[in-house]
Amino acid sequence: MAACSAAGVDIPRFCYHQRLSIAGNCRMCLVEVEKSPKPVASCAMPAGPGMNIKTDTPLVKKAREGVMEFLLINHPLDCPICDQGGECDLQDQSMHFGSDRGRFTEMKRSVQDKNLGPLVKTVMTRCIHCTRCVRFATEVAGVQDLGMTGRGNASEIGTYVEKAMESELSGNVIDLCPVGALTSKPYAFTARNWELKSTESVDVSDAMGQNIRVDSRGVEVMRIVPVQNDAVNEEWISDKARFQYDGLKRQRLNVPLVKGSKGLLESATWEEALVAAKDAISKVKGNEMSFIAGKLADAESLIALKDLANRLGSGNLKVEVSAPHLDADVRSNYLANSTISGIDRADVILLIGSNPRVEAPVFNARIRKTFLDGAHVAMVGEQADLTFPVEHLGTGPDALAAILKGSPMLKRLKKAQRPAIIVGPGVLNRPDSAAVLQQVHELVEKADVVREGWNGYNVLHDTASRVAALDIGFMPSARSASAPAPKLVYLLGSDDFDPADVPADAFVIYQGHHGDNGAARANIVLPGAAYTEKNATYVNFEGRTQRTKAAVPRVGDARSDWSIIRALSEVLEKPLPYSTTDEVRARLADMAPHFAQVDTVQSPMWLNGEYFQAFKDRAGKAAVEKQAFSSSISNFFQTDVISRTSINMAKCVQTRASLAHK
Amino acid sequence: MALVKFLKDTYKRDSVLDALKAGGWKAFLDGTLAQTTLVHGPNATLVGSDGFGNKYYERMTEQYGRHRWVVFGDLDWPSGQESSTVPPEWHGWLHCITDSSPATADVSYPIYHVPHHANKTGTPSSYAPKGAWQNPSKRSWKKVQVWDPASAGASA
Amino acid sequence: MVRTAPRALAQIGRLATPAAESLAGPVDVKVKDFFREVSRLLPWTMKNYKLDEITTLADLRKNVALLFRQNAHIKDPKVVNILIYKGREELESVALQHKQRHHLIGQFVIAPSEMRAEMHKKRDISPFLLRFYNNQSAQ
Repeated sequence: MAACSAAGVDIPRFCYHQRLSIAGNCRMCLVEVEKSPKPVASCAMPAGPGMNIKTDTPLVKKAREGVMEFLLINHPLDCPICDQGGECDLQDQSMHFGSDRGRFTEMKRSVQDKNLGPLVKTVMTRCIHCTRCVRFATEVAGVQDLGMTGRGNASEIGTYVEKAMESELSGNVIDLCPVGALTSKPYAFTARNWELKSTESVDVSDAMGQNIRVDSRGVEVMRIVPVQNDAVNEEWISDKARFQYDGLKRQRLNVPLVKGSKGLLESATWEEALVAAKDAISKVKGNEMSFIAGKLADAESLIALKDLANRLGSGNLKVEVSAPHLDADVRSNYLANSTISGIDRADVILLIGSNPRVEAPVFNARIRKTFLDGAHVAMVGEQADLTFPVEHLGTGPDALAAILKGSPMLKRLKKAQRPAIIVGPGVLNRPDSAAVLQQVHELVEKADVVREGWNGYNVLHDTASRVAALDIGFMPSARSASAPAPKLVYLLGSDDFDPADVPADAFVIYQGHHGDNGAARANIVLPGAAYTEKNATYVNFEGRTQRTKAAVPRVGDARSDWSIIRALSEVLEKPLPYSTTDEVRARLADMAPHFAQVDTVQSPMWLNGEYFQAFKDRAGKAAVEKQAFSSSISNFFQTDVISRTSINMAKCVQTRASLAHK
Repeated sequence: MALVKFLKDTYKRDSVLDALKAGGWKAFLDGTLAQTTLVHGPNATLVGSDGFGNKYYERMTEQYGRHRWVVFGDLDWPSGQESSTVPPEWHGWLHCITDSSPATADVSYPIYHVPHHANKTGTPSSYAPKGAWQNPSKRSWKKVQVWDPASAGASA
Repeated sequence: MVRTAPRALAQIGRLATPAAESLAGPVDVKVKDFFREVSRLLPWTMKNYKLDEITTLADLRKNVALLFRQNAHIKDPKVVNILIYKGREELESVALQHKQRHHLIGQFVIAPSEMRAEMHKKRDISPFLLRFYNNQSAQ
């Protein structure tokens, strides 16, 4: 079949999928091969030299018509009320190979629907037993939840016992299902695919930058589906990326709010709000201001805020839940240098303080694929089920020290062709991360992880804004260590700020798109745009610059984020030197050239260990604590404002809790 | 005398004057009321009454078709004299569909029976579809729900 | 319907009762009375024209006040009286639902916001800020 599609011939198929194993059970891809007595299933047939394949003969057509008739025997005629209607493989192919009348006069088979949790809706009578979902669950997601029971006419797809799918990738079976047997529960009966406007964009629910397509109708995001990008997410996305969109419709900020004389936030015009902000800012000195960026901040607003802060004489910049000891000086120090697709080629992988299953589930599926290809995966950190067997070497820094002293793992890394070390937020967010990172770098040196043509040092971040912030240098300046307690705090979409950073008497300006902790604490609220409403730049953890596209209009009187900061700068009479998106991007490219090259990874320079000398000097002061590395994400489904306000995600949390209870 | 007794019974008063004061005077303005209370009323047999206070009368000397009538429990206008307060079992008797009334024969109800109520059209408890403006808990068609600072203060 | 219609009709009648229409008397008092009259009808208008999907009561009142203020420079009592008369005509057609929803949205929601945008334009601010206030900047 691959040979045929390479030759430009599209062969109809149901069960075959290029990223899954070959099942050969739908028989739709029958072709005629010369010197073969019968038609053969092209998906399971290896192409040989001198083979003559006929895909368009009367015999092939008749065979496919026969197959189609058998499939349609037990398929209900409910296309008008089926959510797959309009994008259904069976519907399309029956237009080619289906008969105009049925010869079947008996009763159709009916199958009980299965409960697969709050995300996937099942109408099992529609199932044609292609087993794509079963193969996806076992091969890619790595959960043994789905399977086939029974034989012949009585065969059914389902969970063997009544339970929800326990995978962070379960939503992908919806895309895989060629018919309407598995459809999206939140999307059920809300829209038809031909009335949707599709916009290709980038997801911000984790740092991976999964490519998504935002399907919208009018001002509403109706659903989010993956876009194929082999270098990033192949064609999967996590459940959070797919189903958190209902959070975009709740608790939104639509007008500027200013705290009035009664101590309550009252709606105001933009002019009133900006003037109020100006009054507050002009009362404090530059060093008494602090600027905190949130998890979803885009590069444009980060650079605008940094420029504004510097103009106001403040260097107190911070990203919330930041990795305090990461240096922005050398890019290779905070990126996944092997790149996401490069991990496929690694043969030994050591995870340090990382649980990729919750930090970047699609990346975890990728590591799983590497593991299935024969790589050895080991892990230092909290015990976690990564959906594949992992050699667990210990939980804390002492285990790391043990590896350094010489252990089978060190030898294995040395011997490997392409060893990879993945450092996760479990390390980066520790107060003693400088010392731990120094240990890691020692290991990198000792095990020769960075060699000619291969850089195996990877940092796995957990928030979408982190890498762009580091690229821009959105981090505390040298002087900020001695700064007094801030009297004015500017929160750029920051809701998970450390309470110590926002003193009780500080004046707080919050800019963001959801009403949450930040807006509740704020004196002035400036409504911004969410990631589906703006054209913004994000950088994922391998350093790939990607842009979101606006799919739906902004809510109410909200503005795009960088322009709010630009307008504020003008009201403060310290105007920033850019007034269009292109000019901001030119400024970004001045700052770091890779911002100009969208959807490419510039492999950063590795300074051959010299840089780590500086690290060593700094780390020498800090003592390593004993506590175990723990992942920064305790609850996969609720990590940022959007997913916290999402009802779908809340339902997932409930389902997970009830599963754990059982 | 029958008229006096009837007026007293209808308005549950001790004297004719009180009955007139309690609303009997309306009969002079309202023809329907006059017909049922003054003309028809006396000398009729009270067959029975229902839970709404409606009284059902019969007088066989009347012209056929006008020999059965109801005096509503609530005689006010416009809120009262609501003909839909007549429950189905009395409706049958009143309209000569059957001669057996609930007063003389037991009525057997099916299991899905719910108590009868008057038509609620025009009252605040009238039915309004899920999207209707009149529905107090109407479905919100707003595409985006806006954050309310007051609610956040309470939860935080 | 019989039971609620008179009440609703009475309410509209009460809300839209015209103030004294004589030409005598101080005009500024009459203008204030007329504005109050309009304001009294606004909650009912919000409900009956389903305007709470579009705007809020406070904003609507602000917009109406803006329309009043557009004529603040007019001092001639005769002209003011005519304006009040025309305004009352307008009010009556709203109260009797002779106007439709989109008339009100255009007249009392969109037009005032455009007026505000025009007012910004007259001031000395940069093109960027002007676009920003008027929500004309790109996404």
